[in-house]
This record gives sequence, C-alpha cells and structure tokens, in this order.
Amino acid sequence: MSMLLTLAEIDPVTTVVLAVLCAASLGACLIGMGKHKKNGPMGVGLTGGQRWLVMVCLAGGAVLYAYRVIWVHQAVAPLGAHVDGLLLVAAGLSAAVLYAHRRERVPGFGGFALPVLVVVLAWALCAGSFTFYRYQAGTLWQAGHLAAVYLGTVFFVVSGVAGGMYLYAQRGLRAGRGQVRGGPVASLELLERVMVRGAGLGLVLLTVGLVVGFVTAWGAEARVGPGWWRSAEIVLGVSVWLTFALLVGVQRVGSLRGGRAAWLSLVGVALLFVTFGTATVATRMGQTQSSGHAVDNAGVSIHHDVGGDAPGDLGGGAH
Amino acid sequence: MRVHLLGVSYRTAGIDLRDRLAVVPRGLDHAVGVLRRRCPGAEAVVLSTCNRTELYLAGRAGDPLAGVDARGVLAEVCKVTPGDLGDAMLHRVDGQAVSHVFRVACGLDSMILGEREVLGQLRRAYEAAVERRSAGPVLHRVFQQAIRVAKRARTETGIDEGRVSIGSIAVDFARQIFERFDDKTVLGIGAGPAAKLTLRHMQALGPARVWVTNRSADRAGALASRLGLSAGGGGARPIGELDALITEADIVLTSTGAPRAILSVERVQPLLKKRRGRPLFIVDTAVPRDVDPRVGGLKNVYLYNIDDLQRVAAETHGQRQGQAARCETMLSDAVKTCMMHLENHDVGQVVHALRRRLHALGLAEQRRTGRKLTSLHDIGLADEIERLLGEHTHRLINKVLHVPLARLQARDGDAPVGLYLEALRELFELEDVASEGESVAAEEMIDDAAAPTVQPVVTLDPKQTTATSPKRVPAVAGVKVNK
Repeated sequence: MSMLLTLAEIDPVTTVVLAVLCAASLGACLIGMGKHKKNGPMGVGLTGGQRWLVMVCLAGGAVLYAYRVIWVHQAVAPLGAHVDGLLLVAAGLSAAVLYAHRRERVPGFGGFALPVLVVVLAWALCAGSFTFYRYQAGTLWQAGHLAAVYLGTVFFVVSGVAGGMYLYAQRGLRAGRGQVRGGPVASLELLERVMVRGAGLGLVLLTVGLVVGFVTAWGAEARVGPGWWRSAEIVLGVSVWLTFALLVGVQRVGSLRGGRAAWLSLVGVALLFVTFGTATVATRMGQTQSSGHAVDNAGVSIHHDVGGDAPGDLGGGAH
Repeated sequence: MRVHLLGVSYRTAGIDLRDRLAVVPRGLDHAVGVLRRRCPGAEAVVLSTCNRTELYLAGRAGDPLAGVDARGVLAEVCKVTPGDLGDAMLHRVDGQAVSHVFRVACGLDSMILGEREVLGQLRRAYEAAVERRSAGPVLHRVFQQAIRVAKRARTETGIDEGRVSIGSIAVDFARQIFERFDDKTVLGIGAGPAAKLTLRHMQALGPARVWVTNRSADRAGALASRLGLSAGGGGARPIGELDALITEADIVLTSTGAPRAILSVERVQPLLKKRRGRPLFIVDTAVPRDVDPRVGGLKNVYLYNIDDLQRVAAETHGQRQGQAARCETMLSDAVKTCMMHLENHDVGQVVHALRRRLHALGLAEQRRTGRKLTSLHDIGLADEIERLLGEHTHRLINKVLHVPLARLQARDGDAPVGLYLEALRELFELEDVASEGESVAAEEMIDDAAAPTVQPVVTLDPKQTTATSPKRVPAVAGVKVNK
C-alpha cells in the first residue's frame, strides 16, 4: 500500500501561520523559563510579553481555523483535518491560560501550560504539512464526533496540566519548601478541583464523541469490516475514557486521591496523545481501524483512503 | 534646621524598660503637650511600638533642643524619671536621625529584618502628628520621604518577602495545601503558650471549627475560652476523643509536653482510611516531638516539625539579609536627597527672609531721605526723586546680597551652609517666615538676587530729567529708563 501525499492539499498559509504561532508559544515558554531561573518557581502570573504572545496564539489560531473552514475546505464541516482539531485544542488551551491569569485563580497555570501549547502547535504544524490528511467527515454525525473529541481534549489537557502542577507542588511541600520565592503555585486542594472538573467536562464531551462514533461505525460495519471495535484507536479511546472516569470519581475513592489522581490525569493525557498518534500512523499506513482486516488501498490517493469512509475512531474520522 | 531623634529601642533597652516607656495612643496628647512646653515652636512626631519609643523633633529656625535637657524631655514624655533611662537613650542628630527614620520604615532596624508592620506603625505615628498639628515642613518631608522610600525598597528588593514567625509560616504551609478554610476543622493538641500562638494564627484563617484538646480538661477549657471558641464553632474536647478528632480535623497543631510521641504511624494509619483520602496537615512544634516522623511519609499527610519551620524562617532571613545591602544603598541615596532638599528649603527660607528684611530697611531709609528732600517737591521733581531713590536702594541691596547668596548657592561640599544660615538668622534677626503653603525655590531666590532682573518699564518724560543726558542705567529690579 502506498501513501500518496497530495502536496496540493497542503496549504502554505496554514504552514506559515502555524510556524509563527509555534514560535510565539515557544517564545512565551522561554520567557517563563528565564523568569523561573532568575526568580525561582513559576508561581507568579504571566509577564506582559508572555500575555501578548499567548494572545497571538489564541487570535492567530482562531483566525487560521476560520480561514481553513471558509477558504481551504470550503465546506460546512468545521473539522476538515487533524490540523484543524489541533488548532482548536491550541486555541482552547491559550484561552484557558489567559483566563487563569486574568482571574488569578490558578497561580502558575500559565507556566505549566505553555510547554504543552508548544507541543500542540508543533504537532499541528506537522499535521498541516508533513503528515497532512483530510477527514472525510461528510455527515453531521461524523462532524459531531470529531468536534466532541477535540473539545473534550482541551479539557483533558487542562486537567493534565493541573495534575502536573499538583505533583510539582506536592514535591515541594514534601521537601519542606514552604516559602517559595516568586510565589507558590496554586494550593493542592484547588489543583485537585481543577483536575476533577476538567476531567469531568472532558468526559462528557468524549462520551458524546464516542457514542456518536460507535453509532456511526456500527452502521458502517460493512465498510470498515468486523472487529472494528477491537482496533487500536478504539481500545485506546476507551482507555482514555476509563482513565478520566476514574479521575472524576477520586473524591469518592479515597485511595486514589492526592498524587495518584494527578498521575491518573497525566496518564489520561498521554493515552490521549498516543491515541491521536496511533490514528495518524494508521491512516498513513492505509489501515482502517479494523485491526483484523487491513483494507488495501494501494494506488489510491489519501482522499480515497478507507479512513474517509470509516469514521468512529477516537483520532478522527479519516483513518 | 535641626532634626533630633530621642528614644529607646530593643537594641538598647530590655522589654521591661520598653514597657514602661511606651506611649499609648491616649497618652499622645500628654506627650505633645510636654514637647510644646519644653521645646516651643519645634516640630514633633512620637513613634511608640513594641520594639521602640522614639521622639522625632525638628526646628526650622534653630535647634529645638537648644538649652533643653534632652534626657529630661524624653523622661517627661514617657512619664519616668531621667534616672530610669539609664544608658538606654538613643540620641541622633540631623543626617543620622533622618537615616534612622528611613531604616526603621524599611524594617532594617527591626527585630525581624524587613518586617512589614513597622511601616504601618510609622505611618500612623506621622498621621497622629499631623492630626495634632505637631508636625511641620521638616518632619512632613522626612516622614513622607521615608514612607515613599520604604515602599520602593520593599517592592524593588523584596526585603519583606516570605515569613519568619513560626505561626505565620505554618499558615503559609496550610494555604499551600488548602484553598479555603471555611469548611475546615482545626485541632489543637496541647494548651501551652506555643499552642495558643499557632492556634491564633490558624484562627485568623476563619476555619469552620477549632477544637482544643489536652490531657488536662481544665487547661483545654481555659485555652478554648481565651481563644473565644464557642460550642458551634469549636471548643474543648476530652483527650479520649483524639482519634475521632483526628478523623474529623484537616489541620492538627500539636504542642504538648509529652515525653514520647502521641501520634504514631500505627495510630494514624487506620484513621486515614476513615478520612477517605482527605489531606491532613500536621504541625508539631513540641520538643520532644509529639508525632512520629514516619507519619509524614503516609499518603496525603503533610507533617512539619519545629525544625522545618525554623529552617524556612532561617532561609527567609537569609534572603532578607541578602536584600538588606541593596536596601541600605537605596536608603543612603534617599537620605542624601532628603537632607539636600531640607537644606535647600532652609536656604530658600533664609534668603527670602533676608531679602525682605533688607528691602524693608531700604524702604524705610528711602522714605526718610525722601522726607528730607521735601524742598525739591516744590519744583516738581518728587516723582523723579522717588524713582531714583528706589533704583538706588534696590541696586544697593542686590549688590550687598550678591556675594553671600552666591556662596550659599555654590553648595561647595565643605561649605558649612548650616552655619551660614544660622549666622544670617542670628545677625539679621530673621523671623521664621515659613508657612505651610509658602515655599520659594532656593535657586529662584538666589538667582534673583545675584542677577538683577528687568521689571515693567516706567517711561519718563525726557523733559523732566536733568540737563545732562540721561545715562543708561543697568537693568535693575525695578525700573528701566527709556531715552
């Protein structure tokens, strides 16, 4: 099976803008690291420069997304490719960083979220060029599935960032580092609340996305082959769901509170990214989500890959 | 101008003497009354805190303590005898006094380096002086500058960052674990002074309940009463309920005199299951320790002993020490600037007074001479005579003042400006002309005297001049003649 990369599909404007946004987020991150090195832990709010750079990421991401919907895809489907979904995630994360800074509710959130933003934008840059593929989300169900999955990802990422902060703060407290120059990060109680609420909101959206995906795949079993439900993407997707479902219930399960909940959130986010990656790799290999039946699409351009006809997996419809 | 500081501080006097010398707020009127009587015309601010009682006195036109026994003044203000002061009295003058105010405001002279409270206390002392109208231009400037510089120093150097008291450090740790406290329960084990102090700090967070328990129920009850704990919001509980209390509590402060640990791993671990994973914050300030150190290794338990808290206090102190040097540099510059402004203001006042005095003298002489020349009025030369005499007087005074004022303006580092001013005041009997709203820049007045300015022109009828052609006189402050 060969993979024909249709260079005509790669939008140069998208690539350039994503490169700029990636640089902006990296700049914001480096400013934060410089501040950390000079003043101590990154507990204080964003500097003026960081704020501007994050606003550029938010505004740039939103504008690029609109541009892609209106000019590139020229279709009603809001998520025409994986890069669009990642743009959505990046914009959502940027908004979360600015919100946390403005409301002064979660000190240190920006410092921990910015590296994640860099990763998401870099991934979007790759997804928009080197690993580009287009979704064939022609139906409302497929579009709904994708939207729910990506929006849920935003909340899961927020939950994961809070989990990372929790472990950092807990480590400092265990070491007796009570007085932290530059201000402490948010309290453990607040971070646990952010973890749980982020996971809860993401879980609702992911549930919608999975249900819609299952319903759609069930109806298209003839196309995707039997055993689609055993594919890597589906298994990983459900694992993500289970992980965050557990996280949402930690306050009722005493043994999972504290550091274990934080690790759960990080594992959930890691699984999420692995799921996206698996979906990307599977598509590039021309495989459907049916692990038992690799549909041979040799000689067919990526547009016609089965992925376009087999929505329902976690990473996107076109795999 | 002179500024004096009289007082005692923790560096020179023990707590007993400081207690006796403290000036309470309702005693301020007495203090100000004594100062007005003993040092008439002097400006005064009284600063009295737990670590110091200090009087700041200033005189614009001389030494406020000239001919006055400083020790006697301080003793009378503090309602003690001079002998009670012993060797504890501090006396600083001028630059050293101003520098002391600045250092106190920044917390550099405090028992806890960089402490914040003293700035508020200094501000309140200044406001009380303003209210009683005992502060004047000199102390207005000194205290306003001190407060401004202290704020800048704290912002730029961070000398007041971090906490140094055990109770406040414990509160900071609590804030890093818990977000809100209105739904939390605090448990105090032990009823000694250390327990009370830390409980008070925690009480300030507004927890839902504060329980106190002790081996002696009476002492627990007494402590609960002193802390104002009511039945709904807490109170004393018997020591037999300790397990239930630990299950319920979120914050445990323990400071008993027990010879062995009262909270062991074996005791605490089963209780954690009942707590359903809720974090438990324990502060153990007892020596020997009340809590087995291994308890700190249990899941969701955060244990700090006195060593941990003192280490944090020492780290904070070390950081502050590092910033103190920067602070001192800022203060040194600020003190120099403040003293220069005060001297300039003083110079300005004296120059203004000197000019007024000399012009008054000149005018008086002019009128006297004018009366003697009444015979010339008959031939219509009265106005011309008046004008010429005015020019003459004005020129004369300007020339007389030119050199001395230029010397005052030179601001040569070795020039005893203060001595010059004092001498001018004394020799010319200059009044203290300063009022609240009156301030004339020293440079403006000195330049005015040294370089005569041109004033509005008075045009004369040339026919009324003398037969000789009128000479063009230099432009003087007063009149310009047209040919």
